[in-house]
Amino acid sequence: MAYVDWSIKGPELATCNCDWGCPCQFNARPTHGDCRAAVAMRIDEGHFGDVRLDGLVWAGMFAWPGAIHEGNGQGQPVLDERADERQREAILKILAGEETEPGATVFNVFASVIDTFHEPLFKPIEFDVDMEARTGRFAVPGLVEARGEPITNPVTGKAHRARVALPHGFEYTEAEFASSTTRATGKVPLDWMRGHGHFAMLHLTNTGPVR
Amino acid sequence: MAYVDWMISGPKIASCNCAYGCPCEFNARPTHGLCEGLEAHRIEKGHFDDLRLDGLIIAARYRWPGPVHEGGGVAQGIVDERATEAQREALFKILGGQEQEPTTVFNIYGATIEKELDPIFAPIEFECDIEGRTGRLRVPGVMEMAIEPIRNPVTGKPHRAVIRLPEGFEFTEAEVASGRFWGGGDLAFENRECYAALTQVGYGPYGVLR
Repeated sequence: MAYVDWSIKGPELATCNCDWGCPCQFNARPTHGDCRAAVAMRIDEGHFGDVRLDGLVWAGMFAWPGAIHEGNGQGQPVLDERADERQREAILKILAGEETEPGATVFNVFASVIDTFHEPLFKPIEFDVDMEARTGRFAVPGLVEARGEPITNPVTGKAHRARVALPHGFEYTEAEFASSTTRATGKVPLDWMRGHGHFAMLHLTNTGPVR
Repeated sequence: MAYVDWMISGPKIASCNCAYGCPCEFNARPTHGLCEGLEAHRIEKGHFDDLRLDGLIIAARYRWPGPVHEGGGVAQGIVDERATEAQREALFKILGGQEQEPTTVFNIYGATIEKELDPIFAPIEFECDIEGRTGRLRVPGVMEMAIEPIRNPVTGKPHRAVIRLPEGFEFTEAEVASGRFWGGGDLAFENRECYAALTQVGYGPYGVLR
């Protein structure tokens, strides 16, 4: 089947309620039984067909009652209010896993385990990350704020540098792991400190990550 | 300070009772509270001063009541029975943290061990395929370990994940896998479908060779 040609490339900050190192990255069960997450990405370069997506930011809040692959999840997409009508439609299609080879992207896989997609919100999204320093933040005033910072050593207090590579991963190929603090209100409320976080440069297309 | 010139390098396999990905690699607390496991290192190339250590295998098993850094650990070293008296002495110096910086893997773990059981000299069967993420360790009558790829819970396909710790004191890069191990005696344990790691790593007086 032929899919619309699309590509999004740029930095991502993902945060979840698991402990540092998120066991789900290795196919183990989530630390606290359930999975709650807030994720955002800035599209530095992107297109969907002939629609340019450069510079736009998207975010999402998610919750599953158990491990993600067991399903029954809900998601709250948030789109950059600067996106015009065609850009909004394009990004929503990508996030919903449409126009994508089955199983090729995180969006396509997650779409099969999310029962409820809440109505998308169109808001200003603040997004600022420093991949190398493992620090960053995204926020939608009044709705969500997520921060990432280095994991610390419990004895020395020094920053601990850990990367995980998933050579066949459907989201990132390599990510810097970090510590997260996240709060959100609305349809998918979130609240944790010292949870898992990761910073990655994503490059996704209709056939999956470009490596 | 000047140390004796030494080096041990080769494939290393390890497994512990944590979930896949072992939270401890990321400074989180162990999955089930306590930490127990085992490891083995085949010294493909090694020396201690002018004494060759090539081909010898060293192994260990251990248990801590909580996270490693909180201490109170029990450990036992297992040394290849083929090692000569001089080689055994050299290996014990290395494993005991002598002739090296206080920040090496042997000294960091050593500082958390409260009780060291008498070492065992035994034949050690060792297999390791880092790329294929399979491995096997057998010390007859003492302990065994088998390693295979993690499986995707939905598709059943092998899941490949690599942990990179650019400044790590134990390894720089390790393939993550699924382990199964059991053993008897004072450190009896039995675990399955738990964390395992395979790495090609070398150590010297100043830590991991990079």
